[in-house]
Amino acid sequence: MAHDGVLSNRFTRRTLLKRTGLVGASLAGATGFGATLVGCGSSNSGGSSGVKTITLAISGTNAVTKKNWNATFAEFNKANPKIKIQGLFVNANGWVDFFSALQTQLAGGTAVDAIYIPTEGMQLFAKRGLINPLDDYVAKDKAYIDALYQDINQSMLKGFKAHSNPDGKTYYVPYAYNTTCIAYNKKTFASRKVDPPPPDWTWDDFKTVCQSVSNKAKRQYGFLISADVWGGFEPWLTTNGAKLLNDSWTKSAIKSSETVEAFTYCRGLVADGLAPAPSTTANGLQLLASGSVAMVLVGAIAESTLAQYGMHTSDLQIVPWPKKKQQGASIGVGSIAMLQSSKEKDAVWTFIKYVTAPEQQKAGRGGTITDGQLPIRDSASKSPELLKQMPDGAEYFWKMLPYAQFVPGTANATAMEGAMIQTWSDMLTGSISPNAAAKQMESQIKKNI
Amino acid sequence: MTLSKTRAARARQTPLRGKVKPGLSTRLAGLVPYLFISPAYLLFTVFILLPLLATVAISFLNWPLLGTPHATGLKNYVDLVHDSVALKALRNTFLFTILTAAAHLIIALALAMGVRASRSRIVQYFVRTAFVAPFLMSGGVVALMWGGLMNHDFGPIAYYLEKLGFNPPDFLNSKVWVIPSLVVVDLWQTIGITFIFMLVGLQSIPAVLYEAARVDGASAWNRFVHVTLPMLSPTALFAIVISFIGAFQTFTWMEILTNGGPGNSSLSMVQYVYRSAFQNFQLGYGSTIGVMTLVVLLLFTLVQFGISRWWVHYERM
Amino acid sequence: MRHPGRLTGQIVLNVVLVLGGIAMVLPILYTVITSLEPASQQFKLPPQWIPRHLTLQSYRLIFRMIPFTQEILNSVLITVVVVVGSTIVAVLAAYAFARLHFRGSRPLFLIMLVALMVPTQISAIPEFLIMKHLHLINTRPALIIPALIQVFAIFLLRQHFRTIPRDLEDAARIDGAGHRLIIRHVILPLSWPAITAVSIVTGQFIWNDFFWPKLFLTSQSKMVAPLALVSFSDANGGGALGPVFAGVSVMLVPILIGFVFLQRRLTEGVGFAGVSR
Repeated sequence: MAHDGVLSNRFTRRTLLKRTGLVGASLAGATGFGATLVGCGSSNSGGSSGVKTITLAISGTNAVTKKNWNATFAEFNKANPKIKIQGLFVNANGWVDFFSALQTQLAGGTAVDAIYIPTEGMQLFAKRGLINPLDDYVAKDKAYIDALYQDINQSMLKGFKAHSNPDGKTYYVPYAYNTTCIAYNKKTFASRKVDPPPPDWTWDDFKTVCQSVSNKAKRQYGFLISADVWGGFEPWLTTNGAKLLNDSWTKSAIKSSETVEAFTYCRGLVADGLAPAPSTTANGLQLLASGSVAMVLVGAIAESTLAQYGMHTSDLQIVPWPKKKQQGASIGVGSIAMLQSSKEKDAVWTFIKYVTAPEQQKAGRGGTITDGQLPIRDSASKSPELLKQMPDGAEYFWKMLPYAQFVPGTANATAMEGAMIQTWSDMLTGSISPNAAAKQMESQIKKNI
Repeated sequence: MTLSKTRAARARQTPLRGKVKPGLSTRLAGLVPYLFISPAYLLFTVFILLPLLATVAISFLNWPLLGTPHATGLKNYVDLVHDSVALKALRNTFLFTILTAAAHLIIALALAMGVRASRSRIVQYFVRTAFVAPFLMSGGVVALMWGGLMNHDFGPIAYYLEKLGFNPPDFLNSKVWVIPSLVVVDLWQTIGITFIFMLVGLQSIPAVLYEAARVDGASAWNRFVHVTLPMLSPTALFAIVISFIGAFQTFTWMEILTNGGPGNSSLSMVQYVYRSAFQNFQLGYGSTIGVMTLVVLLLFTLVQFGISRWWVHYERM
Repeated sequence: MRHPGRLTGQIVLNVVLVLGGIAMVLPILYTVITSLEPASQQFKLPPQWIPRHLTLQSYRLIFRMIPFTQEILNSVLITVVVVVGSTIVAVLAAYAFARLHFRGSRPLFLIMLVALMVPTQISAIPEFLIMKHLHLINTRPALIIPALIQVFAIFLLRQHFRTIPRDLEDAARIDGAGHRLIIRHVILPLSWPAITAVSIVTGQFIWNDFFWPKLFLTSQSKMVAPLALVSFSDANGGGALGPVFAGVSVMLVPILIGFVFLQRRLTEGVGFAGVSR
């Protein structure tokens, strides 16, 4: 979910994490990081004044990420003077790297109380006994949790409950989500005389658009295919009625004619010069800005991120993924997880409740919007104030929820995704056939499930 | 740091104290060399030797990063034998290392001879600067730069090759080209140092030898084969060993530029150790791969030195 | 030289050499030029070797988005401490191995040499466990302390010290000089090129390292610059490459300037190391 749904591939990280931007350039200011340098280190709970300090590990280290989180911590501290939160901002290349850096730190004895964790890592951490189940807290604050759950898209909530809580316990309370959509550069479309596509466009429409904007000799392409699962091939499977895993995530469901059809279609885009070959070194927004590609995958994205590339939210339009058999998208959910080893679990719970509260959600606290996610509450993610911080069409992030499939986050998701991404790239460049790729992926899933 | 300083300080004072009491001095003097090497040896033991031995020990364990270790006997080794990825990593590492070492040797030698032969000081200075400067850059940064340059669709290299009428492969996405491409990146960064070795090696060959060869009527080629090569061979061996060591540890290029792909075609041994231990969280298996690397490397080094006896000319020792 | 064939040969040779040099420099040039272009112009094909608009936008971004100054300082600090510390350790050990007779000197030296061949990364796991026990994970000393032992430096310095004539040392000894004085007044003055070379190679090695920082460092206040740029390029919004290239250029400039001054020394020292086996 979230920034990059992708575990080990750089591409996604590149394409998606960009949301790192600031909520607004105004927020960023030139002084972004000074204060946050202090913010790292192990937690020393207790303390003479009775103030408890908890450490929250977060992926990402740029000024915007830190500024937003630190502002959230400061607000929280105002409301709860007895609890101080320190961010452990982890330098990591994408989720896989974040998970391994974090486990390495835990193994090395760094005290961490809570982690910001996406769907990809939920079972990974829970099944290793690192996460403290929240059942007692949920029972204690039943009214609050019930109200929260009511304010969440029900199909997403159902999927979340099924996939993030492997053994019937509640390990995670949802905090943010991210859906895959496509963004196009309006200027590129206009200059090449392409009409804006309708929201219910099809694979065929998509290909036609690609054909009319592509010019191989000029190195201009229609769409950048991500080398990852969440934003790479999962949406193509979903829109063709195919799936990676069965509903209970116990078996592979990838070997189907629909999968092969989706793969064949994507390989065709590359073979016909409508999409560049997958690359660990291409940067989607960069290419979008220069007109080298007309469309890229996006999750939530804010002005500050686009500013890095000399773009504005007004330059982009967000549209749903084109459909074949049905509408579709992939989705990931983020959560603040409480570590088993934390000595300040109550304080962590207080924070979990704080960031999932309606006012905080609406204010886009923490990593929402700027770090690529939308607040989990409908009341927040559908609010006009929030939507207008993003390009037009941002409402599709929630409109697509009923059709979305979860990105796989099984206990061995990192190993599984790594292998599958490799196969995906090999298939796109033509070194293996779509059929063989589906077979290979099936065995990779079997091996790691 | 502090440790080594105090020890060093002590070591320095000992002999002076010794002067005062001659009786003690001989016995103390015998200890002095050990004091001198003790900081180095202490660090060496703690941070190189013991970890190596421990790696061997851990390779017999099943040890999840955040769990408790259990002895598993030879299981890791049995797994390793059936692990096609390990084999691939070994192959990649060797291919990379051999290509790198060979290219270093040939290009650096040719370059050094060229610079020696050039009579333009400006050209000499420019070439030395241009070739050595990348050596002082940081690998991670070099990788980022080359990632942009080598991108198939948007990088300038493929663009210009195409303009010249070639049909360039997707360098970093091709199973065939990925290793040679990484070799190019590696060469770009490190060729300078080998070049300097060779240059100074050439400079130190006594001119008399060439004069004598010329008097005997030896052709340029014969002078190269019978004077330059033998006289340069120790330098060459040194340079090969250095580039070999560097190349065998390669990690940065694969980690940043290709992520080991496509299809593990550029996964290196060190990278595989790192992944097994810190991404798949299997300390035991990671160590087993490390041990295999060690064994292969030692064998290879023995062979290398065995061969070098035959071609390296040690007259000047 | 005098006859025309030679002259043509010289011209061809120099042209080839200069072209080779230019090929080496182009990637750096491309990087610097890109970092100075406005975001909308970056990475266009064909590349604009003479950009029409120049801007420091990318530089502002990289310094704003990550604590780059701090990270460069970390890199410099770690490199300097390791270079100084490891050279002291190496000089002492090399002096003993080269000039003093003691039991076990040969096997002790050989053991070190064998270890020189082994990439230390393969023992990353125990190394990590050691650092864990020393409570040094995610600290700069985790990068500094193990690097204080540079077997390669000991090896090179030993080779060099052996070439210093014994007479000088004997003369000093007759004058009553101990090891300290001998090192200071005999060995060191004759070894600056070698020591410079060793320092440069060690410094490059540390500055260049990517593996150990990746293993040991996560928090940003301790981060080293190259790793920070790599993380930025990946994690931060796919980090626009423009700011990354600005960061690369920033790291490059002091090096290039230093290099203009250091070139002689580097050539002498390193080259010398190469021939003295």
